[in-house]
Amino acid sequence: MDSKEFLKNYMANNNKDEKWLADKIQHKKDKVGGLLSDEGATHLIAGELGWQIDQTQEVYFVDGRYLTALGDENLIGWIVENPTNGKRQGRIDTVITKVISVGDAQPGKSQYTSASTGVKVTDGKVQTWINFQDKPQFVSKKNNIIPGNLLSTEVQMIRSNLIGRTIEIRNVDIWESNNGTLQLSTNNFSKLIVLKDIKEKGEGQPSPTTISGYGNGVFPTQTELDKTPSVNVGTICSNTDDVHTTIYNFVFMNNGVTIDNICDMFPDYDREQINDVVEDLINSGEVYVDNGTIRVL
Amino acid sequence: MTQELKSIFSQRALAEEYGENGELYFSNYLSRWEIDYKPKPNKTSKWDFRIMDVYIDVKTLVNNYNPQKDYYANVSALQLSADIDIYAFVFYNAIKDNMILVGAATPYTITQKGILKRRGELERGDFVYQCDTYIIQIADLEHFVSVLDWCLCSKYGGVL
Repeated sequence: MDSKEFLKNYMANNNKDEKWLADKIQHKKDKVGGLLSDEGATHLIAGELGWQIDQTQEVYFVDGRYLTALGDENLIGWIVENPTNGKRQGRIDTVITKVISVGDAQPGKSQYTSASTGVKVTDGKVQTWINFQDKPQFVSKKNNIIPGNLLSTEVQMIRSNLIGRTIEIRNVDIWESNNGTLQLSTNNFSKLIVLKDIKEKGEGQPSPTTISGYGNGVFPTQTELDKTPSVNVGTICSNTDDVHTTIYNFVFMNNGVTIDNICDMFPDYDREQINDVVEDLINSGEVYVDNGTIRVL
Repeated sequence: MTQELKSIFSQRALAEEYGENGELYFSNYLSRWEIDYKPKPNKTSKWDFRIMDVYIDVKTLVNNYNPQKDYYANVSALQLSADIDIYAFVFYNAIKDNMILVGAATPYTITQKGILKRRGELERGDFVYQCDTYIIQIADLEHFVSVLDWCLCSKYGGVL
């Protein structure tokens, strides 16, 4: 129920007429020097009269207990117990999540990490930190050259553009700390992709930040979450391969493309293959077709 | 060492006191505007006020002068969070002992219009930033009510 509907019901139940509402809106606007819009004043009045939108949900901070919170069935990757110390460790293929805040860069604590930056993220249900690290290049015991990866520096460089945005991180290490909590951090092969811009004040109609799996951009309510067997992080890449991810990302970044556009963009893929992927995306509710164009929900 | 700790704690206590005064001033402002709000549930809460689902953090800045348009308001970069919808800036003139709400901004505005100063950078008067900090000119801030209006419309629908 939106605020106008709520106020209509309120007026019907309390014998108030349209004039009463118009006066109340005008009074509210006058009180703050005319800076409120009609809609803003309507929302405030409805809020004062007890209107609550079923949108907010409590977000839990689950420090470290990431796997437990997400549910193992939704985790794309692997985790094993290290026989030498009995601790769990593994790697997640893809994490898609929204950035809440970015910490300051800290000096590295080992020869394999020259700097690190903590980034607080959420999938709409849980909040946790992911540690982005600067990893220098080194030679492995088998004489392979392991490339360097400066993700802490990268995060610091685009820090101002990260807050509130949806990011995709590929190849995330997960490991158990001494106190038994599970920690997430990047490694020499990790990759950071900023998926989508948020619209903000001055940029026209806002587009809510989309979290994968909940394409309408609104965080699910607790009731919805209870009904949902798995959590959204990683769902985009579940049962998929690189073709799926690549095409989804292309559609995501270029809302309103056609099948022909995708075929032109990716000549290496068969049209049939692309059709299958798009059909999967439509079935999973991540995109819809509007007048022949593919749009992200 | 004891001295150092003492000075840190006294500074922190003072900052908390200023912060609480700023929040009190802001709550009076909201009451004067007849806007219903909910105060923070406890001392460790990230937000200071909630108006429906709009979360507000009040930042109190202490100065010996009245604020000018080219002055900077600042927020620690670590504190800048997408959880908060509006940062409201209150200036406290320590000489005249008065406060003024100079404006407000969304986190996005702060990141886009503000400047990110890195830890260790020097400012006028040999001031050194102790942590990464966003600074934004007061001229770039907007009236609190217009930011609130935008936040309400973006959350619940309306003309932007």
